Amino acid sequence: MDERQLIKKIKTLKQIKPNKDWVSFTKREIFGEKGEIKESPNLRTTLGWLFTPVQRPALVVRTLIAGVLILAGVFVYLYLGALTSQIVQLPFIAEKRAEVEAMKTSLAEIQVSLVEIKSSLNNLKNTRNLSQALSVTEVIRATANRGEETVKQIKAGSPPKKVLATLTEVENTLKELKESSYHIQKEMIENLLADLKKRDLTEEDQERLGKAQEYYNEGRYTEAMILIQRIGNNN
Amino acid sequence: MGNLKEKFAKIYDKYVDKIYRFVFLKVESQEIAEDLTSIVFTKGWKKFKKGEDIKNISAYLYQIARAEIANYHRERAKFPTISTEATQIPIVDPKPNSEQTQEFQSDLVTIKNCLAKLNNNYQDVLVWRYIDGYSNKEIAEMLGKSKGAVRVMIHRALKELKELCNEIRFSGS
Repeated sequence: MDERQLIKKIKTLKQIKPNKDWVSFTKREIFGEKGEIKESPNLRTTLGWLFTPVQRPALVVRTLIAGVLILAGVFVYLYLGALTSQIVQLPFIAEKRAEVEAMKTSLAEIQVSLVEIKSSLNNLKNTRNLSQALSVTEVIRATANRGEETVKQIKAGSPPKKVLATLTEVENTLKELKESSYHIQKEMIENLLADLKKRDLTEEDQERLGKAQEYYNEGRYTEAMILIQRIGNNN
Repeated sequence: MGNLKEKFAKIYDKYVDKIYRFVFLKVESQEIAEDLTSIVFTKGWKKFKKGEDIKNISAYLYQIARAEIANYHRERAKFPTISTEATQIPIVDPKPNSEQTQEFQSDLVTIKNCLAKLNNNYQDVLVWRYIDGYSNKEIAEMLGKSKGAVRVMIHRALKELKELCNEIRFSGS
């Protein structure tokens, strides 16, 4: 290959472009315009700060600390808890129909967000800090668990049929989300363990690694994950 | 503030592709490139909105990008992470024929990996000269070197890249 051909090859790299959605999302984020967008108040916009970062998995790992997400999970729980009490008290007469419709819409929006989170989960594997990514899967799993409990509570309150159908969809997606995060977590731990085995570790870290492997073999991923995260932090 | 926002929005639109590409060529994945690029512009905007005098905005953005990439590689060396090499290059208009696309992708990956083997300054001058289309004078300003020094650097970088690439067979070559 001569110089001219080489330059031509280099020039082909011009075609590397960022994703358009990411470009506009980041622009809004830099200028802090997310909060300025006026939308009708509904459950998804109320929880927008929880769902939006998950549309950018790369960002999740860097910016969201697990505690915030746990808090968000609790918030989902409390918010839906409030809705539960509303349902239980609803007399289901005509004037309340609008409220039922609104709730159905909100649940449908949660459903959309859950699907987005689920499809973003895979990208977590490519993030720069796998250790943080692991924490995110753990939080997602915990949130899905809480969501499932909440859905059960709402169902126990005999909601109207329209709401029930959407609830079932949400419940199924939560289950799928839990399973996906479990599998991805397993895969990431597996890769981390393999990678760590190739490294020169201190005696203390070797012990942690051995224990993490044991936990992993027993299917205790959370414990394995905690130990992995402590490897390399001997100060 | 509104005026500054508008101005920086224009800067963002003008440079986002270039900075993203510059970063992407030095890291392993699209996600990391996105993270680092957003840090570059966030830092750029923080300084810009203070009304501080930035003489050469492109040089300034590339300077942040270089520092962020260096930080990223330093962090990565400190903490155990799995190394992955990009096998897919994000392009806007893939060729319609899937076989052609695959071939094209494979060429892009090959040239990206060859470039990554050069030292940082060599990578940068080649990207700026042949991908971003900057003149030797502009590159000299960005690097704080003379025009002559940049010319020599480009020449040496091309020579080294040629040797690296000749070891690898490109599709269609």
